Amino acid sequence: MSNLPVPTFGGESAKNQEPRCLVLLVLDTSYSMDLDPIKELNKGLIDFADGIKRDPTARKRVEIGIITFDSEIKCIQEPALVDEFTMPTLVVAGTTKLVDGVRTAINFVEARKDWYRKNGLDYYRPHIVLMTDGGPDGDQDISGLVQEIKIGSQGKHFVFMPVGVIGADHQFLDKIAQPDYPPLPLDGLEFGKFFKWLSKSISSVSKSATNEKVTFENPDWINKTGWGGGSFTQNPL
Amino acid sequence: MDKNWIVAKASVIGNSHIKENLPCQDSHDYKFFSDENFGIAVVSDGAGSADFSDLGSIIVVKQAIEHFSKLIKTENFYAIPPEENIWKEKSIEVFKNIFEEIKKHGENEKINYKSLAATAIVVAIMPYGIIATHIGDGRAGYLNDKGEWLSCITPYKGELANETVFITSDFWEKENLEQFIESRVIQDSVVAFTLLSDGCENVCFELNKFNSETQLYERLNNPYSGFYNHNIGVLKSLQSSGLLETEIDSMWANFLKSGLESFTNEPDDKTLLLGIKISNETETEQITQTENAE
Repeated sequence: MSNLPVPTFGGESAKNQEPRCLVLLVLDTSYSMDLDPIKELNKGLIDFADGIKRDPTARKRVEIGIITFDSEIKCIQEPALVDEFTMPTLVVAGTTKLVDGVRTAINFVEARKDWYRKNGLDYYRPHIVLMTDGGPDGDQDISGLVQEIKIGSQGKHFVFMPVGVIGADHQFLDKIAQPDYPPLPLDGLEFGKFFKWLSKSISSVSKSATNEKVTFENPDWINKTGWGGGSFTQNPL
Repeated sequence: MDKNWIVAKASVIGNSHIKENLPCQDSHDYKFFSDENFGIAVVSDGAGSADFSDLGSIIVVKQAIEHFSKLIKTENFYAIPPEENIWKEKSIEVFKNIFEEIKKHGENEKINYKSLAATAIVVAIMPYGIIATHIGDGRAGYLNDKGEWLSCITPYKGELANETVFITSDFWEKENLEQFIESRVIQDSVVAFTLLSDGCENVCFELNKFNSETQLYERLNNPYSGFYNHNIGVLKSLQSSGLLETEIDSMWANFLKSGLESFTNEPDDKTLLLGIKISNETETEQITQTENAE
């Protein structure tokens, strides 16, 4: 062998868009969330973005979208990678048009999946995360929503994760939750703790290999609340 | 190592499997048949959700080398390119036999055969080109003597990024069985080839590209010359310097573990084979020129 240095394998990586893992947060901004709850929620959202940013793979794959519901439904943040936007600050107003909020999220998910398909981007199953401290307004079509969530979840169009803040209507959340993802209660106003758990869980989805079963860690506060919770496992088809 | 081709090959465990204390679920092999002058390369990726898919991928690779080489010899495919429909028909038969072997293994070991779920990519390199067949995802491609990198399979993807089919999937009795098994016959002057599991595809293949006219990304399936041409040059140098096949494979494995940032960060298992033709100095010279021109 000669004394020349041994050449090393290398070259450049292809510059591809990574597959996308969409998380659509559907957040209650009705008046009952005023003062500490909305303050803690806003802090929690920043923790969520920070958690995703800390994971180099999730950072390139997880898209976050935010829909708020009170008397109106608003898309506060279109789905985007965490480095492409600044987390907004939410404010409270009005009543709880929760059903309309979740329906809007379901439509958003389908529209975003169409966009991925048109763009030749692969995607993981989107997650819709509902957070509320109450129940829907009296005139809302609850049974219709229950059906839509059931069809969407069973058809594996999206994962639906309901989260109850103090004061949430447990019976309602039990009704709309699916067996794989029982309602998850918040530990007091510890939004930060929840969002850290969510960023870790979603990061593991965004890195899952083909047909890999993803099991989320059980939230450590789950036994304190006396309601809801369970094991969260995402099974492949 | 045969005298016509040099093949760098390795399967390395992904970060997520290291964290979860799981084995590497990818397997591969390459064998050259000098009497008939053809080679077969196989890559198999075990399903993440299947308990014994590491074993499943080993069985798939061993059986595929054995059964497909037998088929190629018996049918004289190494000398005369088969019609694509004949190759497809025969490939389905062979894969069905491998599936039966897997079922038998499951019965013997008293485990559900679905726990052995794994994909399969088979590429046979012939004097006239390539015949390829596969079940599931992963990629394969080749370089011709015009310096063009082309794909030779299209991965089967479900709706979601992490969905595909396996040799153990429930399609064997379906009327649309043919849509799950792709088989191609390519007549071209092949000077290099590659096979990879999906853990390497983001590095080694162009999967999408922004089209400024439509303002949309478009889906691609192209081996990335920026990656391959450099490594062809290195492989040729290593071979010329007299390194053993095992030494080259060991360097290749280290490269897949941490040789590029994207490899280092990849959570999935990674398998990559790169073979180059070394018998014809004119062709290898051209590869070097292609690399230098870029």
